[in-house]
Formats: sequence, structure tokens, C-alpha cells
Amino acid sequence: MTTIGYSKSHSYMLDLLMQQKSQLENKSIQLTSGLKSQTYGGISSDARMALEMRREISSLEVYKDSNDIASIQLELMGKSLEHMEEMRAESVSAIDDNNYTLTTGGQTTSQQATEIMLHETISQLNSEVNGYYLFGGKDATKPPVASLDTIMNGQDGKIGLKELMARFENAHVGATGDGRITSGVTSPSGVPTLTLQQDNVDGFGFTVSSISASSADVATAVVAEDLTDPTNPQGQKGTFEFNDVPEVGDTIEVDLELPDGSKSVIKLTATDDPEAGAGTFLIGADAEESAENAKAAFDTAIGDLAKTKLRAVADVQAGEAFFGDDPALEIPTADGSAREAAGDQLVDWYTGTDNDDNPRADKSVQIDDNVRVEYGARANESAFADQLRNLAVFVAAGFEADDPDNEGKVATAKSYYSELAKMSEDALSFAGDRNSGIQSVAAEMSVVNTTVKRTMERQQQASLTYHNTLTSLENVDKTEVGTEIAVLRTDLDASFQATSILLNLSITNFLR
Amino acid sequence: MGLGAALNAAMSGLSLTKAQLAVSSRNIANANVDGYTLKTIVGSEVHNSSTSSSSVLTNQVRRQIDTELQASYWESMSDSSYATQYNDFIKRLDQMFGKVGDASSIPSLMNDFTNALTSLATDPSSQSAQNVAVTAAEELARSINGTANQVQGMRRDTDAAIADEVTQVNSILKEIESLEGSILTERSAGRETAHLQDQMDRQLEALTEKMDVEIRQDDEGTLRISTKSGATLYNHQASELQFTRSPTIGYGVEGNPIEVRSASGSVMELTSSDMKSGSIGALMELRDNTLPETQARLDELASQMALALSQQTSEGSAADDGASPIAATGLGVDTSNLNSSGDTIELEFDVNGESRKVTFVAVTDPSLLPLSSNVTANANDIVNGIVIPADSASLQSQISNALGTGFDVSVDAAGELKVLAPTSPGTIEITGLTATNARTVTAADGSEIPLFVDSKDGGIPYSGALEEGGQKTGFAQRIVVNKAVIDDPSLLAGEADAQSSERANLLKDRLTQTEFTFAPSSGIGAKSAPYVGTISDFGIETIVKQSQIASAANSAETNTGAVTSMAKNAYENSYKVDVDEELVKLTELQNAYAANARVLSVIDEMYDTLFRI
Repeated sequence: MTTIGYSKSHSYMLDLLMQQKSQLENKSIQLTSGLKSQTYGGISSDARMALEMRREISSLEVYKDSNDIASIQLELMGKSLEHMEEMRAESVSAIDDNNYTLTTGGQTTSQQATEIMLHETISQLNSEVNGYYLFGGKDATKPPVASLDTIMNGQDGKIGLKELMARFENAHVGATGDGRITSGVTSPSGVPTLTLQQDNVDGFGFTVSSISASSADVATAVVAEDLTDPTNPQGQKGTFEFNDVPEVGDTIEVDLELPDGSKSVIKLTATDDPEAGAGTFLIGADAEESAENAKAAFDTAIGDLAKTKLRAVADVQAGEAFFGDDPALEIPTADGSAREAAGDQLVDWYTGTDNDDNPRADKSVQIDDNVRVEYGARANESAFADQLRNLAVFVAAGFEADDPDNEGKVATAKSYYSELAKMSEDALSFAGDRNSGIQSVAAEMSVVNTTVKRTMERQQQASLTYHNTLTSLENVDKTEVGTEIAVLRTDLDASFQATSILLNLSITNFLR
Repeated sequence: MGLGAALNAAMSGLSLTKAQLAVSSRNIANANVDGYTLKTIVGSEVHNSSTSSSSVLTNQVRRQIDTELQASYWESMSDSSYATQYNDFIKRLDQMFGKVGDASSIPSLMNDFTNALTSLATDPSSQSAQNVAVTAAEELARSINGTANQVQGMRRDTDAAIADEVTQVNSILKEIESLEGSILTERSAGRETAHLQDQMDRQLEALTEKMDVEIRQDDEGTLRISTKSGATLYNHQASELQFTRSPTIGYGVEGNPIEVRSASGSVMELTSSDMKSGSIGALMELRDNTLPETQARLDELASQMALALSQQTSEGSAADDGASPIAATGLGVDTSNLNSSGDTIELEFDVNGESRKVTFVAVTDPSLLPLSSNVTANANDIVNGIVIPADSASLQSQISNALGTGFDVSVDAAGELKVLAPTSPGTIEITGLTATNARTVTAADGSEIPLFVDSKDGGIPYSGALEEGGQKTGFAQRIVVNKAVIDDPSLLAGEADAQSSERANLLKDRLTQTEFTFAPSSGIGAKSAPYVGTISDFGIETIVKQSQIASAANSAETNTGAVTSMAKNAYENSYKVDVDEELVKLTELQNAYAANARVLSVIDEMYDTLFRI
């Protein structure tokens, strides 16, 4: 074996030592920084992979941010929906058509309870996460639903729900409280005829749907409206021709159609007992007197129906008009004599995004490459608007009798309460396997939330893998480097020692 | 033979020993001086046959040197200094481009930009998301500008370094000239020249470090130094290297060459074959190849990125000649947007089952025609220039002339271009026709937007125009975000009244999904197989390429360094002084001196004895 001596060439020796030393330096830089190399030049073959890993990781980070936000918003939305659903369920039990108990404020106890739930529902619909109103559609910058007070009483000269209900009540029930049915007895060609005449104002009030009589002495007819004389248009009417005095037990009846399409039947039985009371008419001495008596009985019955059920129906209609989004909406004029375009007379209860697009598309989030979820919601979607309407109409109604000492009026008020309570309860209940609108929305949202969660989990896994790969590409194993440093140090120690011994071994030292 | 002869022999022995002692002491004294070669002096016996006496003649001092080892050392050193010099600059580039995990690196900023677009797509009407996206785009553009400027800065550094090196080479050549003069003088005077030759070697070593040279010594011992290509650097007289610095050298500008002006006054330019090794060679390579290629890479990145976001492509739809029965079928495409130099129309067709591709590139300067096929990154297409602005008749005739017979080309007044081929005999089948144009305004008309523009002349749209040496050249220095977008970041979300994520998604897809073909002049991909990938991929490739260059340069330095180190060791071992050896010799000399002196004293005693008789 030949070795190259270095007693002459010290620079070679120096090179070798310096090489070893710079190796040690590199290793200690690796140990300190944790990186295989400070630049990609040092990990050339792995550079592409490392850079691609970094790209994946950074795009996952962005998705993570947007998924976190989406997740929070969806969580909160779920909670809100849950709460609103609770409010609906509780209101169903709170609204009891038999429990007419007035408080000193003029509201019934059930109204007070419902008002709290209405408040809650409104505040849920106004929930906000970091400037984003969950139920305001695309870009709501303020709460999308107006305050309870504004909804009830209007604002800045705009009409609130209470006034609108009053208008509808006024229009349907009529100034005389008879649901726009005028009764009269005439005797054309000698036959006393009881006429129930609708007035002809824009479909307000009752419609005479059909007329019948079980008596052979009474002939009935429904006369269609007659608009031939524009100065004196005649609405539809029903006639009872009393050809003779009816027998005891004979019945006459009229089917009245209410504005919501439901029908109420008023049936009068002929009697000879003056004390017989409601649902009867006294047989008079002749046909004309009998007709007059029947008219009086009809007046009472129609008046009662108008002030209770018709009023309740008018309230519901007002609610539909108020919470609906019909751009060509017409509402009764203040005096109830006609309809007029609502225009912007009504207070805006909803101020969020309002267009024909799917509300879900209002909030669309990219949660992964090619995966996009949509979870926009608007308070004026039917699910929310219906619940608000049903609660608000019941809360806005005035159930107090005009005269609390008048038994008849109190009874009417009670009956009106009972009618509206029944309607509201029905509208708020979802029997059996039917889902409420809010439950349906909640189901949609939970599907989206699950998608987001799954995606996040998957991305977390992916990110972990990428990080591990990146670490193996860019980073050193510190234990390994530590060991290498120890070995190098020992080697270098030995080399220095040996070199020093060798250099000291000069003959100079041994000459005298 | 008498005592006198013995006396003479002893005398000559003493003087040889003295001379040897002087040489040894010189050796020991200079043992650690670089380039000092071991000197020896040997005596030779002189026999006088008439007197049959013998004595020792002290010869001249000799240098001990192995010229073969020397040559191989010099050669490897030339390589090594090339590699070292090259790696010095490449390391700087590597630091600039490719710090591991550097958040300000180009791929990293590109990620930031695409991520900002993702966020913007999630929330298009968010002002902050719009601003973040614009800021990210600006940072990316600035980073490309900065990197490209540094690349040119390094080119200026190399240029300055070349000037320095040239000056040094000239002074070395002068030194060689004067040393050779001295050596010749000394030699003719019969004096020793060993120390001068040592110095000469030092100068030659310094020269080989700078340049790749061939050194020959003719019979009379005079030097002849030339470059590999044969340019004489030294022949009795030193030639002079001439080089003019270009202190403002920038993109698209070539540096000055190095010239050799011989003593006789003839001037010769050094070629690249002279620059294969030596530090000057490394500097020239960096200035003329490596750094311009890096610039080209950045230009390609900037250019493709700007075009990717602004380019609108209209695909052709089926068309025929309208005759009954149909006599020619093909494709039609709208070319009304073909307004900028660099916009293209691409036609693909099959002829006898072989597919061909023709690319028409719009230019405004007719003198550029005909265009080279390198204008497009695709190597397999036929490139034709069309001069714009052109009315429909002119466009029709230009395309028709380029395609020749066999095609039925028509352009109607609305700019609808139809390229048809007769159905009979049906040898030609039109398979693709696309018109691609760069959008130049931010106003609504599709989702593409000229987000990046050329800062030249206060901001002009970038369309990859070929005029004035090509808009691509140096675009890396000039790429900026469109001022209209900086002023109104909401442009990234589309029109003010209909903000949507469409544009953000398109921009993001163009950066991360759509694949483009990149020009091989960037050093990535080959001419026959250009690199195809997304903009984001290419961003990574630029770093990967840089890291490969760095890694190669580094291992070249290590390898040549090791070779040089070995050669140096062998060479040094051949001439260096071993002090121990000299000391041993010293002891010998002491003994020899003592012995000679003893002989003298014996002769002296013998004379005494003689005289006492």
C-alpha cells in the first residue's frame, strides 16, 4: 500500500482537516436549524416534492380558515333554528283557545307568553357572527328583521301590523259590524221577501254562497251580482220568499263564505216560543212578520259571526299581507271603502337580501378544491316568515271587550279570542310526521355542516401526511445528526492529536 | 601524486561542503515558503590523469521539480477555480431564490396569491378579501421584479469581476515578461536561475487559475503561452487582454467579449472554447449563459402568468360553405378581438391522417416577417405572422396565402374567420381552430382580466408582442399589477352591481388548473418536448431548476477541489523541502567537513614531520 506522505505538503493535511471541520460546522448548522440544507440547492432532488407539499399545505390552510368560519356559522345557525323550533312548539301549548284570561295591560296571558316567544324568534333571526347576519341573505350589514315594536306599531309614518289588522278588520267586518251583509224585507208583488245583500266593495266581508230552506212555504234563490248600472252596482244576494207562514221546525239557512274561503252556515229554525233564543226565529202572525223576525235573527247571527270569526280571518289575512312578499299587494284603505296599492306604506319588517335567487346560494363557501357548500338563509323565507306571522298576528290582536261590563260584548270578545287562538294554534302546529318549515331548513343546514366537518377531518389528515412528508424531505433527524456530530468530533480530535504528534516528531528536537 | 594533490582534494571537498551547507540552510529557511522548490547541489569528481590527482567540482544549484505533476496540478487548478468562482455566484442565486421554507419566495407568494383568490371566491363582495388578493398579486409581481433585478445586478457584478480579472491577467503577463528577461540575462551570465524559475512558476500558477492556457517551453527555455483556441498570450513579449466594462448591462443586452491584443498589434476575440476553465471562464459563463437563462425563466413565468389571466380563447365551431350539397367543411371562429401584437390563431388539421398545426401570430411590424418557429413554445407547429391591424380582406388574404391551395379561407365583415377544406377528395380535415387574444381593458367582457401589465411607458397591456425585441424580454423586471385594479380591487369580483366569485375562480383555475406550454429558452423542458404544466407548477420548476443548478455547481466545486487537492499534494511532495531530510544532510555535511578538515590537519602534520627532518 502506498500512502501519500505529508511531511512536505502541509497544505494537503490542512485541507483534510479543514474539510472535516467544515463538515462538523455543517452538521451543527443542521442541528440548530433542523433543516437538511438552508437552500433548496442542498436538497436538489427533493426540492420539487418539498415545494409541492408546501403548496398543498398552504392551500389546505386557507380551506381550514374558511371551513372554521363556515363551521362556526353553521353551528350557530343550527342553534338558532333549534331555538326557534322550540319557540314554535311552546307557543302551540301557550295559545289555548279556552283560556281567556285578561291581564291588567289588556292582553291575555297567552298573548303575553306568545309575545315573549315572538321576541325570541326575532332575536334569533337577527343572530350575527362576526358581522355576518345568518338570516340576512347575501350582504346584510344590519339586523335583517325589524324590532317587535316597529313590526307592531310601524315607524316613520309607515303602517305596522296592528294598524293593518285594524284596516282589514274594518274592511271585512264593515262599519255596521255585519260583515257587509245588509238584510231587508220587501214585498215585491205581494210576497214578503227577506234579502241578504252583499255590498259590492272589492270582495270585503261575507259572500252569500248558498241559500236553502226546509219549508215548503219558503222559496230561496241566489241572485248573481248585477253590474249593469255602474252608478248602482248590485252585489250578489240571497232571497227567501215567504209565500206563507212557516211551520214550527221548518229551517232556513244561509251559507256564508269568509274571505279565506271557509264557510259558515247560519241555520234558523222556526219556532212559536218567543224565548227560544239564538238559532231560531219566531213565527209571526203572517208571512211578512215571520220574514221580519227571520231578518232580526239573521242580523244577530251574522253580526256575531262578523265580530268573531270574520274578524279573526281578517286578522290572518292582514298578517299574510304584512309578512308576504307580494310586490303588487293591495291593502284596504283606511276607511275600508276600497283597496289601494300597498306601495311603500307598510313598514319593512325584513331588510336583508330579497330577490328570486335561491336563498341558500347567498352564502357559498369553497371548502375544498371543487367542493362548495351553500348555506345562506333569509328571514323572509316562508319557514321563518310563517312562524313570525302566526305569532305576531296573535300577539297584535286586541281581545279586550269594548265594555267589560257588558256580558254580550265580553262573550263576543271571548269568542273572537277563541277563533283566532284556534287559527293561530292550527297554523303553528305540525301534526304527525310533517316537518315544520324550520325543521326542514335545519335538516338542510345539518347536511351542510356534516359535509364541512367531514371535509375538515379529511383535510386535517391530508395536512398531517403532507407535513410528515415535508419534514422527511426538508428536516434532519436530530438524533442522527447528533450522533454524526459526536462521531465527527471524535474523529477530528484524533486527527488533531495525530497531526500534532506527527508535526512534533521533527528531528530538530533530537539534535544537540 | 604528492601531498599537494591530497591537499587540493581536501580543499575542494571543503568548498563543496560549504556550498552544500549554504543550500541546505537556504532550504531549511525557505521550507515553509509557498512555491519554494527543493534546491540541491551535487559535486562531481574531477580526475587529473596527468597528475593522477582527483578533486570535487562544485556544480550549480539545481531545482528539483517534476514538470508532469506540475502540469496536471495547474490544469486541475484551472478547473477548480472555474468551479469555485461559478459556485460563488450560484450560491448567491440559490440564497436569493431557494431558501427552504422562505415565505417570500416566488412559489410561496404564488400560493399566497391563489389562496387569496380562493378566499375571495368564498366571499367575493368582501372588501378586505379583494384588497388581500390585490396585495398578494402586487407582492408576487414585486418579488419577480426584485429577483430579476438581482439577477441583472449579479450580471453587472460578473462583468465588473471580469474587468478586474483581466487587469490581473495583464499584470501577470507583464511580470512573466520581466521574469523571463531576468532569467535569460542570468543564464547567459552563467549565474544560477533557480530562484527566478520559482517565481516564474508562481506567476504561471496564478495565470492558470484565471484562464485556460497552454504553456510550452521551447528548446532554448523560452516560454510560449496561448489560449486553447490558439490566441497567443505570451511569446517573448506579453500580449494584452482588452475588455470594456458595461456598468449598466441589463436584460436583453449582451456583455462585451474579451480580446487579445498581441505585441504585434493584431486583435483576436476570445471564444467560448477559451473559457472552459479558469475563473474568468466561470464569470463569462455566468454573465452570458447562466444568468440570462435565469432571466429567461423569470420572463417566461411573468409572461405566461400575465397572459394566463388575460387571455381569452374562442373555440371554433363547425362551418361549411353553405352550398347544397355541401362541398367544403371546416371550422369558423370570431377573430374580431385580434387586436394586439402577440394574439394568435391556431389551426389544426389532419392531412392524410397526419396532424399538423399552424399558428398565426399577430404582429404590427411587417419587418419581423417571416417569424421563426421559436416564437411559440410548441416546437412542432408551423408559425406564420399576420400583420395587424388588418381589415377582413387583408386578414383573409394573409391567412389564405400562408395556407396555400387546398384550403378555402374567408373572413366576413364581422371578423368571422372560416377555414374550410373541400369534402372531396377529403384529404384535409380541419380539426381545430382557436383564436386567442389578450384582453387589454378591465371593463366587463368575460371573466379574464389584464391583472398584470407591463410597466413600460407608464403601463401598457401585456400581450407578448414581438416588436422591439419582444415584450417578453425583461418583462420579469416590468411586470406590475394593473393600476385600474389597484384603484378598484372590487374588479376582481366582477362588476360593481353583480359581485360574484366567477372571476376569482377563473383566475385561480388559470393559475392552478389550466396547463400551458412553456418556452424551452427558460431552460426548463427541451425544444422537442417543451414543459407543459400549470403556472403554479412552473413557479415551482423555476426553484427546482435553480436548486439543480446549485447542487450541480456545488458538487462540481467539491469534486474539482478534491482532484486539485490530490494533485497539489503530489506536486508539493515532489518539490517541497523536508526539513528532517535537510537536517540529516546537515549532520552528514558536518561529518564530511570534519573529515576533510581532518585530512588537512593530517597533511599539515605530515608537512610538519617532513620539515623537521
